[in-house]
Amino acid sequence: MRNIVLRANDGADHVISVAAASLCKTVASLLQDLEASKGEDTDPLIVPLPNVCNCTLQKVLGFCEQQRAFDELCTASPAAQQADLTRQIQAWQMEYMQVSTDELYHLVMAAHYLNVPRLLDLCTDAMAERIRGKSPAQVRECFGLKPSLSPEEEEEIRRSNLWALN
Amino acid sequence: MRTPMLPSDIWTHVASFLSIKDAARLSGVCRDASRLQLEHAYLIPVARADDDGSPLIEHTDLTPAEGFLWASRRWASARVLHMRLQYSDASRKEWMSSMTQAAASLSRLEKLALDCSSERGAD
Repeated sequence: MRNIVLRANDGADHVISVAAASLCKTVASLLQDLEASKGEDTDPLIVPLPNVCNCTLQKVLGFCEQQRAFDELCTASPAAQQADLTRQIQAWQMEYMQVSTDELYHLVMAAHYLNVPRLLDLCTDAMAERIRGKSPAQVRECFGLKPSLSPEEEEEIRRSNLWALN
Repeated sequence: MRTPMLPSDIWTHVASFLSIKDAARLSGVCRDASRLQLEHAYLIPVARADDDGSPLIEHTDLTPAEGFLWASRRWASARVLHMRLQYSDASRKEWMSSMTQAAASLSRLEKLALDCSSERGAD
């Protein structure tokens, strides 16, 4: 089977399994295109990812490999063990999401760019956890976001959202 | 200060894990967030049908009329709408009818859940 190499924007290479690569829909789509153009070539397929740094790519790949392992376990386990397995997966995901806000930002952007739906769900759920109950200014501060609305636009939105701000 | 921005579709995804009230607050964060749409909306209309004016159900995320209006402007591409109704039998039927009609115009809607139970008894 052909090796797949994902290349981060700083040039670091990561060899991954086809099964794990298939969880990244962007990579899966690139692989299909490369396979179509190169035919049955057995050279490693190198997929450059200019929008993802090495550190974040490692984290994303850790997720993909672990999820594949869980998927195989779920398929192989009897129904009676599914609830226990679900608890194991949730515990692993909770541990996995113990990241700083900065890491979470890079992770959600990578999950979006690589199109990994399950990771995107996990990241956006974690973002929602950090946003719940906060004012717009507190959310900006939490995520280090630069204000992009003019004072007039901000005031207009504030007025129409007064019901939610109290 | 860092200058990263998150695209609107990520904010939309984040909003699907929030109450309507938190999603509305989120829409004031930045320009991209102000364009967020609702993929999943969980709405609990505020109704004061009891004699003493208290809601029939207690919930921290009750959605006032302004919240419904806000949500209705952003749910055109919603996939899931969940309404928990707490009105009297007569108005509940009106609500169900009007929400079912509204849902029919949502082209991407996969699920419309109308929960008509209340603490005072259910359908």
